[in-house]
Amino acid sequence: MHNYMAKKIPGGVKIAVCISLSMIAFVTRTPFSLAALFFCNIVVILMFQAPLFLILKECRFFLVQTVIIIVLYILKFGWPSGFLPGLTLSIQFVFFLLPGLILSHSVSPAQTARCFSVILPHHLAFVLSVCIHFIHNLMEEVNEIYEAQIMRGARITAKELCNPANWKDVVNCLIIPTIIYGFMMARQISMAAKARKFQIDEKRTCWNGE
Amino acid sequence: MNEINSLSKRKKLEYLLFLGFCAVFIFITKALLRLHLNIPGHSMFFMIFFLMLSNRCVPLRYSATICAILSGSMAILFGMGKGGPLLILKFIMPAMIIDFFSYLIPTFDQKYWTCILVATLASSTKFISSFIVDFFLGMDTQLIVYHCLIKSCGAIIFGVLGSLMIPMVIARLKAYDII
Repeated sequence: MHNYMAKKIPGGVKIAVCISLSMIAFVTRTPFSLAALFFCNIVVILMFQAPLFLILKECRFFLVQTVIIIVLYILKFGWPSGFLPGLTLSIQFVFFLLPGLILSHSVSPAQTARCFSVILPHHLAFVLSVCIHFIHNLMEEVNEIYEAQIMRGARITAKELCNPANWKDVVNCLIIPTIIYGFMMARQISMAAKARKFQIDEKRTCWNGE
Repeated sequence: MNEINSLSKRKKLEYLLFLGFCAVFIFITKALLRLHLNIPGHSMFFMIFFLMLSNRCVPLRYSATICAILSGSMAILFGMGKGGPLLILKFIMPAMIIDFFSYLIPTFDQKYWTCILVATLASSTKFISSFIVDFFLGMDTQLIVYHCLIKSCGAIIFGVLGSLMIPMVIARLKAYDII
């Protein structure tokens, strides 16, 4: 019944709800409103049947961000007075990005493309939906490249990057492999799209899910 | 002939997808750098870098502008920034400058000073976009000018720093036969 309800919710409604939740994060400042927003996000995750484990796994990116924000606030305003504003802001930041994660896990690329195509040309809408869908793969690949380069001795850890002499390693060891991976992924997706006769046949070919 | 057409269409889709990935990187870096550090223009570092990269790597006309439209659409859809629908101007105007100068100076990526020139002009569009946004928010005109000057100075510094990576990255990509 629950699964059926998640499938019945149109993609446009899911996008509208997630955008609204994302925008509400900018105006929530008090602990009470943040708690209310947290509750809303949990309800949305349950309603949209988004995989909670995957979302929590991806939230580790926010953990680093939270630590950076809190440390910077403490450095600027001192220990007791800077902690609470820093924590509030980092929670706001998480609540700003969380609906995007929920959206990307709960809406299929076809649904996203249909909604984007209202405001964008058909091909750009397809490209946008595909790119949003592949954000996880890109981030995972960037993380793997980062760890592999550290293992082979690249000076790109947070501590080593305090030295400007090591900044060149970020370009050579992280940015260039990431760009090459982006090109490879674009080539693979375009070949897959061509194999499904995207842009070639007038008539759309798709599996209707039955 | 049909094969040639299909190949060119596939190539075009491949290029568009790469532009999409550049747009995703712009969006992610802009979102992650949103620290409220009171350092104006720090997101311009990656924006200028990826816009220039998309212009140099993809032989489509207006490639940087397409990348900017995609990243701007993402920013609007996910409610980022205070500009609302005008937010897309902040992405499109630097991209249009980069596309325009790539016609005037087709090899601008090979020298550092041309990259600095293009990045300075592209980043300075932040003044116009900020002015429009602040104006619609109803701010006092004198305050808008001061505010936009501070913002655009920061944007130019970070934009120039981002563009300094371009000659090295493009040279490496050419060496690997990627572009």
